[in-house]
Amino acid sequence: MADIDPKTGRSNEFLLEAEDALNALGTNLVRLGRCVKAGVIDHTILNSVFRSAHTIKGMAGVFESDTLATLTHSLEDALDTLRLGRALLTEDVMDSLFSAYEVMQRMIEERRKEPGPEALDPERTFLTEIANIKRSLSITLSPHAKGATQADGAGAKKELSGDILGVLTEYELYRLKENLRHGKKVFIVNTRFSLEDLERGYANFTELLKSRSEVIATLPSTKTSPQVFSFDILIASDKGKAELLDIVKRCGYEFSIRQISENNGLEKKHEDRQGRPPLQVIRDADQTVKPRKESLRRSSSSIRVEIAKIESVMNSISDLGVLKTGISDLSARLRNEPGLSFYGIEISRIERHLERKLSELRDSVLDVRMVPVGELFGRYETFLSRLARQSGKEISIVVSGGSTEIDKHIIEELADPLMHIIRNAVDHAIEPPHARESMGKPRAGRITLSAHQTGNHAVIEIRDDGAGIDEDLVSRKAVEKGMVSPDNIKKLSRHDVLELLFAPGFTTRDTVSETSGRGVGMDVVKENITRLGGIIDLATEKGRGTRVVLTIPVTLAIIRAMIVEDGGERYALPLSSAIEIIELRSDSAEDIKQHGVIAYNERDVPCVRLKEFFKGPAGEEEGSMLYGIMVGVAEHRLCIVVKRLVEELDIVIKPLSRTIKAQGIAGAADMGEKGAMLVVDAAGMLEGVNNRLA
Amino acid sequence: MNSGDAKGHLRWKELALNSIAPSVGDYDGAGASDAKDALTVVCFSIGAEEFAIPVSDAVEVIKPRPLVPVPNMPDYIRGILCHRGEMLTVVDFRRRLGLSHPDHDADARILIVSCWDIKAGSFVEKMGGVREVPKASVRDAGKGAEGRFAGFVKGVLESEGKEIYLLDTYSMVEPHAAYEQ
Repeated sequence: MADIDPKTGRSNEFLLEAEDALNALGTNLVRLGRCVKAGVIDHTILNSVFRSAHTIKGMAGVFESDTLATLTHSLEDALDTLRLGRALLTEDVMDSLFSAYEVMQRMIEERRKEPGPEALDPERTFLTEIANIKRSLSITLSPHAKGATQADGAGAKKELSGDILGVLTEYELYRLKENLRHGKKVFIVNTRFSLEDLERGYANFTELLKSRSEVIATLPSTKTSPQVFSFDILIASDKGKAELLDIVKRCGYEFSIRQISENNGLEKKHEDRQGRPPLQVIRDADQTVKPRKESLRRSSSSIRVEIAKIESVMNSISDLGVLKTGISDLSARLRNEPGLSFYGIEISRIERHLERKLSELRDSVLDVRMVPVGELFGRYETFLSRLARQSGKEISIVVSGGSTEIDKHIIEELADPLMHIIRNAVDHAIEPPHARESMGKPRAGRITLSAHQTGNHAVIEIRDDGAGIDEDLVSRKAVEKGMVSPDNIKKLSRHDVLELLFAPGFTTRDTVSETSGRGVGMDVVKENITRLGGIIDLATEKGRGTRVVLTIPVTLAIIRAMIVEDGGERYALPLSSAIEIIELRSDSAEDIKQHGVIAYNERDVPCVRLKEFFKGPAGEEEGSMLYGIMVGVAEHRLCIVVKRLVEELDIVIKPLSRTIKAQGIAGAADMGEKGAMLVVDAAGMLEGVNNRLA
Repeated sequence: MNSGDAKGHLRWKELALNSIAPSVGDYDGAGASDAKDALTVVCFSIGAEEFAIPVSDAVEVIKPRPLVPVPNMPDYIRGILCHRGEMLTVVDFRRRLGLSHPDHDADARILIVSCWDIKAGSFVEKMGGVREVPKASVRDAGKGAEGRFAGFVKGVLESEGKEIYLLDTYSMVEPHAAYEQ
């Protein structure tokens, strides 16, 4: 761990980049798939798919992976054929493209694993799959009527000087012809940027052009000097020149537009010198005679950081917090010391300042770990469109609240549970298109992923408008599988029946399908969410759909905990698992003692006295007021009863040694001078209580 | 895992300088303790008995601090202790060995040991020192020791006329089957 082989370090970096490229490819493929369905192919998307494939091909070289190189190579070939209009992009082709994408994804995943002696094998296993994809690509790519475009555009060719035509790539030439064939007007826009402004200016400028026209090619102009870069941008648009001028003027860059058309051989030149004059900059540059420096600087200002590094910063911060407590104790002692109280007050002032700075530091480090949940949602778009194709259902996905930020670690832990929930929705909930139509629902099922933050928690909601969960079917299956006896099943409430879904191995399917029916799924969801200290809520209405709500803490690194006291001992109880804290007056406390349950939100929630859970039944005690802390673990609830609430603190949980396995204890927190404090594990307590009841 | 050994030696040198434990052995020689013919051990006493563990298992010695008891543990687990950012389980060697000696903790120390993948604190009554003994002088645990400290004693060595039981550190601090479910 400590010694990082520079080679592996580098290849890790490439892996990350490859993943990014692959993600981009995936998103664009989905968009392309939508285009194909709609019957209008957006060539800019097609072109970006081609570019991503090309990038990945380049990375294959870095990985020294021949299989990946072969695959990306044939993918690139196929895409090139497509974008040059030599073949039609049909749904079949899309399928082949998607499967190529999936294989690539798996290959990258393989690469991520520890290289071992078996490292060569996955390469070989992929070979047959690649051969299949190559075959299907060559079959599905039926040659398109060529030549039709040949005759057109001859006029424009005359207008463009020989050198321009010479530098256009085959693809650019094809787009030029296509645009002319569709009666679009072709312009050459000349613009320049100073070196300082090159990257941003060019991006802004082309972005503006793209909104009103198609950018066919960008050609460096002969007027380029070391300080000023001049470009000729070849665009096609159905707008007139005046209109284009109007739009482009807004950006404030110097430019000129020249129209090229069959009818008009005259070159109209229109100079526009509005806005910020770049000339001034140029003159400055001339005076200082700055030689153009070669630079390998990248313009991106973000970096990738290993999560472990952030974790170690986090640990140092918590150590600092412990030291700070020492200072505050010292200042308290000094304040009581005659003659030294002045210093005590002074130290405590500094200490308060330190505390503020520390919490700022902690917040900003926590912030670094946060990533928008939209990044996670995006992964399901590809996944869903594939799932929909496989199941023959029509599904649209709606995403909202993607900017909600969650700890990177939690995002990764959520990936699998979300996948299972979505898979369940597609397999069990969404009806086939014809069935939906006959019920008066839209043909395409809709899956909504949304997220928002409430306090320290993020709420993620997965909603479908499918069939809902058939509770009778669930009960019947549970009896069939012998999970519940026929007598008991009648006693179960609606809520309890839904809880059966989370039992390991439970499935309502009789046959195992490609995507589900193996009975693994909801128990994985439960396990992962529970580990995160999250809560699952399930609501369903027959015929209307199902809603799964996951409430999870935004971060795990530092936990807000309630320090409670019971039976003379202090414990920290993570507030992430607490739903509500309730006061228990003597009469309700007595009631709990007798029945062991408390009514909460129309449910009977089991209650447990914290000290009794850890130390066994204890005698009566003085005092009447108790507190109940309602905790939720997945779909379960438990009320933990304590004598006293002490304070709320931020703590860092440290695991106990392997030599200790105590049920109901998640670990311990370092409280500095005060030693350690046990942290209550709500999930473990719940399990313990359930075991005792059973 | 192996780096623990090196650290162990280092800390023992610190220990000698701080003179928390009375010095007996040659500390500088401790680094070379793994030589084929010699065995360096750390000694401590419980009641009238003397015990030792290999110096390579020892990390450092600290004064007792308040421990946090953990519920539902066997009585020889005294609790946990946060030391240098780690949560250590503290095992009471006296209770672990079944020695019913009255608790008087004035000289007691917590000896931190690291063995295989376990790092733990061990509550010992009185620290001895570090001694180097010829390996050949370690004899197999006799019947008497077997009976009294079954499973914990690796061998018996004699030093200055006293019998010292060489303990198997791992079995002293390992997770016990009784509560490992």
